[in-house]
Amino acid sequence: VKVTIDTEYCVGHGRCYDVAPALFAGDEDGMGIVNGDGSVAADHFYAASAAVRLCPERAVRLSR
Amino acid sequence: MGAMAGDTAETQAGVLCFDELPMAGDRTAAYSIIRDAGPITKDDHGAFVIISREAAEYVLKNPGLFSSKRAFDGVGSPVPMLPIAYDPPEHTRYRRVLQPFFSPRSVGPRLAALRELAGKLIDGFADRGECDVMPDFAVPFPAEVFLTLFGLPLDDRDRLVRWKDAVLDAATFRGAEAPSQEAASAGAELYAYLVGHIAQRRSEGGGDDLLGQLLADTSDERLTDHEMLGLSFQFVLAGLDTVTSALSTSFAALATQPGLRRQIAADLSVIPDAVEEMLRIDGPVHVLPRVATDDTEVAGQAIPAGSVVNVAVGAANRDPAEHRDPDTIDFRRQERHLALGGGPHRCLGSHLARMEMRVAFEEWHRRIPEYELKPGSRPEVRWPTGMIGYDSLPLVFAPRRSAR
Repeated sequence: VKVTIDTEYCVGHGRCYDVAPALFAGDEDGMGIVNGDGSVAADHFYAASAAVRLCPERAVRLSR
Repeated sequence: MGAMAGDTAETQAGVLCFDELPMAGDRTAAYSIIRDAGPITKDDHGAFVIISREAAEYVLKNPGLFSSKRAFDGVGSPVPMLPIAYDPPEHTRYRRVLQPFFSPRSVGPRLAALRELAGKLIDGFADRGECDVMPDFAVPFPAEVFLTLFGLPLDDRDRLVRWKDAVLDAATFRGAEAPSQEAASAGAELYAYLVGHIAQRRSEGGGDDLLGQLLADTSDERLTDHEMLGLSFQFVLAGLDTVTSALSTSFAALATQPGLRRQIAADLSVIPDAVEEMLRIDGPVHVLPRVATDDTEVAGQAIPAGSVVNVAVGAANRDPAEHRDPDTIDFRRQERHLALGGGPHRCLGSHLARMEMRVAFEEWHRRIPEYELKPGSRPEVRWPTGMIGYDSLPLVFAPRRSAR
């Protein structure tokens, strides 16, 4: 399972790196970036789904 | 509906009268009246009101169709507020200049200073057993943070707060509407102060605050004085009111709902989720105005070009299609909300605002875990207004034992 950020929609709310700092980080403008290739280890799955659920722009996605 | 207040707030013509809503004392009743008129309706000033979350997101994410350019005319700023009253691509350029100052990387290092300031203010009354949260804490804490960061004299705090209150009291958030006489004259006073302050800062030079850095910018993207004034006007309103108001509604909820208060006092790590949930259910900004640039349609409703389109984010945050039991505060919810806006105009200061709120509740509950409304007081929020919040919130608590 991998997380992605649709950069066309991200406006930098920062919810993803706030709730799932193992998976996401913020750039110098506060826009979300995916750490590494976005692979989600089993113990980060809950945080990944919280990031998806919390993004006000619906820009964070979880896919196989 | 059925509530008596609803009979006056929604007339026989199916038009929503915002001024008549029972917001002051019962936001749940007021928001349910709005919600029952959804997903879209009209208000008694002829504006469209966007109520469902789906429609709200659509409007906020489409600045080409729903412009901000004339949407804030009723606020009374002599120059367009920047960046809120601009559309892309100009807006995009301004945000590019400003965002680095407000990213978590920039505001994060202020954490220790914020913590110290909040603690110092709370220590000022923790031994007293009572306080008025607004003048004692929720006004001075965000004000000092903002004035320091932006570059305005702390000595001018009280008069800047007075001008901010005068502007917001008189402002209409109906979009594309000339400001009232009162709004225009309050706006002119604040504007005159800012003209003087910016001229002085420009001649002095220096300063590592936001104003100093923007004034020192010599790049192609540097802001003109006209732009600096529009920016300063908006920042004074935003910096001196939003966190103050958000703290006020949050403290009111915690003071009256012991179960919520004790969840926080028992485990301070709940605070980030608690802040989000309190912003969702009772955020200060309940409506975001836009103006339609073309004939269009939202949720099956035709909207002619030039119409004012008010996005009722406060109601959208309680949309039952998105939130189970939307009127219940549940810190474990972890659901998206629009309390800090959405789309390109997302609150520029959101990272700082969240940090201030978290620090405020952490430092407060470390010192004052148990508190309630002062017996006999029945505080109500300002209404009608564009910015929901309490002006006074008297609390009582066990005085802290002095040995510390």
